[in-house]
Amino acid sequence: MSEQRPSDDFASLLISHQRPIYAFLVALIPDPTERDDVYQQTCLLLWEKRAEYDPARRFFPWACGFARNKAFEHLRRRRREAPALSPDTLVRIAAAREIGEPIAAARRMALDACIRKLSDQQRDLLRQRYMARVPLKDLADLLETSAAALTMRLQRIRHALLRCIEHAIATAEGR
Amino acid sequence: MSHDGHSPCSMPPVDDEFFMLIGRLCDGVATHEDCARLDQHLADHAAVECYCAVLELEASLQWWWQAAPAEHSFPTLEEIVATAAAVPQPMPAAPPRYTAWRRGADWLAAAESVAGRVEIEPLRLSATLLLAALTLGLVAAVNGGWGGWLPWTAVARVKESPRPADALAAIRAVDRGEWREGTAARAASDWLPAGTRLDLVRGLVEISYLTGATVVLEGPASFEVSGPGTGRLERGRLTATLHKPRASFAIQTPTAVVTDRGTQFGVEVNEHGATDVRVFQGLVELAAAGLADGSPVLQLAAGQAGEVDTHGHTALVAAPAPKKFVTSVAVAGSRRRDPRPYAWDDSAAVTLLEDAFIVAGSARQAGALHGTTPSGRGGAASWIAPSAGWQVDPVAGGLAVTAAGAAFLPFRPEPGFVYRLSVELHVQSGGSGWAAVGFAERPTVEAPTLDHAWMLQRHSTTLQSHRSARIPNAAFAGPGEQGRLPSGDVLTGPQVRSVVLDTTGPQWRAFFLVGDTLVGDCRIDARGRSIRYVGLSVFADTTATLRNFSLESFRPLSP
Repeated sequence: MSEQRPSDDFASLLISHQRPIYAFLVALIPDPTERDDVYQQTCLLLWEKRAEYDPARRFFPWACGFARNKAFEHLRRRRREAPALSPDTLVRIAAAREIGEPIAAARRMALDACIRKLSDQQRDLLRQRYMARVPLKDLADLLETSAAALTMRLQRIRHALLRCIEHAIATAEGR
Repeated sequence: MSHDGHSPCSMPPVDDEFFMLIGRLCDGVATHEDCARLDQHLADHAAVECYCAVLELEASLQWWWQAAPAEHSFPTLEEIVATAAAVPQPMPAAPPRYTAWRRGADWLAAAESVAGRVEIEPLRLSATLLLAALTLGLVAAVNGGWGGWLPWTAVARVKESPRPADALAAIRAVDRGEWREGTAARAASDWLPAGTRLDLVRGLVEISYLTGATVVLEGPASFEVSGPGTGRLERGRLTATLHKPRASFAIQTPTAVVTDRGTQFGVEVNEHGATDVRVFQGLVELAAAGLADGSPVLQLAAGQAGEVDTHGHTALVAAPAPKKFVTSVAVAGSRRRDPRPYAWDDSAAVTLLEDAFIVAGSARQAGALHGTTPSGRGGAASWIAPSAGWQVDPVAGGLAVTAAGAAFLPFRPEPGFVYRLSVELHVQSGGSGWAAVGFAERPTVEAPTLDHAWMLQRHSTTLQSHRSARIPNAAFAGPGEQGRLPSGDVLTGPQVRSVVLDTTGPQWRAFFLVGDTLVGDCRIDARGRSIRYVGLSVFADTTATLRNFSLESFRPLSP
């Protein structure tokens, strides 16, 4: 690919990092709709700033700077309307998430196998929650349970997946 | 964030309350008190690591399930809803009858006449096109389809037999397939549960995954459907195509893991297990099987090739030898089904609102649209519109719009129906503005940028594809919007634009049509329940003439 233009290289970099950038934003913005907006704004901003990128630098930290600024800008506005973590906490999370990308990538690779190990009922619940994006309260009504009980069920599944993922990574590393 | 042998969530101060608080934050039910309490937990670095791991999982689950097919392929939720929602559904009008109605799809018929194989050489996409796909979340559009419904299309063709609960994929087509002796012979329409192994001696097999990927296997080859988003190629050659945005698909081989990020690529495994990968579109990650040997993960872009040898060493291939990969298998003989993910009983259409924008034969006076009642159906409803620049032509008919603004009629959708909102739209001039039709919560000129299902068209043919993050439910479909129209379709002169709002499921959806051609779809978020208007919008420097505005309702097809 020696004939590639700089913009081609940048587009490839941007595309190859779209999921890590998205995952970075997840740690800062739990609401998926709001996060999608900030993610798109970040991608557009990165493209606008492509001339400023120095290929000698690592792309992910450079991109994270813009993602972090976009996220904080959004959260500052949102904080006036809805509950949110404090700015100090968000700064700590952003810093940890930025340097933690390699292990996060390994976790993503392990997720498929772990989801398959869940029971049918657990998978169905995740499907309803994440694929259909049914709001928690509506889903609780549909399942004739309380929102609190449903939160607990989802929490147990997340916990099980976390344990499975960590086990898979440890196994892959030969420990 | 180190990974030094313990789970990030296994150490104090991580406790049940901490998990509960994160869960409430993820589920959108956290209070100010919850956030304050979580702030206290997150003063500790170990808690921050755990928080990041849990939120990473949250993101992965969303990507994973967004990669799954639309609700049509997973009846579980619909069944639950059907049971739970045992309340009478109000009807705008009584439907005369319900029939299984399918509209012909000429382009599908044309596609059937294409020769049995499509062979391609690796190609390169322009950076602009890649960026457009990225920013729009429309990698599928780059692949030549519309993310969200192409995979459904593929799966729909094998729905003749009931889908087993554990099915992950189905065989879409077989071309001269010959199976290894002693193994099961497979045919089109066969469902493939996890662990299904395909031992092909010769011929071609096309496999559609429910998660939105297509694999074309070339015999001789041994392949296993190993997971919802994974397959294992022991030997032979395949081409994988991922149709859905944000989805992920991986091919495992004896020596490598090839992870697809919304692309098309070919993989070949030789008799010794060495893996050769070619990327046709988008980008893939190539890694040696297993994480222990420290080999780098190669990022391969369109046109590039990589290999993993039998020792697990990965390498970029500078000058790959030419190879042909088969990317699709023609379905011979049978007529394909209507691929659209919505269907209604056309004979039971009820016109709720209708305005041909004419003066003759109607009670309307020539001149401004504002305050007039529709020339067709509409009861006592009157247009809310600008006082100037939106004029009904008294001679030729039609609504001539020469100034930015929007016009609305009141309408409130009921759950359980399919609505089709249509207008004949002729955009005559303009650049970055638009002419649009859609559903609104408030009768404001910003409705297409704020509200629900809107379909917009620009006049310019030179603008790059662009969809603002502020317009999550709008589908631009003008000639400047790449990837939204079938190739070769040129928008000149008047075109009928339709937005179909489907309120029959728990997740409302909208579909966008140019004439009878589906050009896109989207999900409608919870705010869709607040729709109170249908309307038209013309923005910025655009001028347009509009005719034959109508809103119809249909009952969905009976099961």
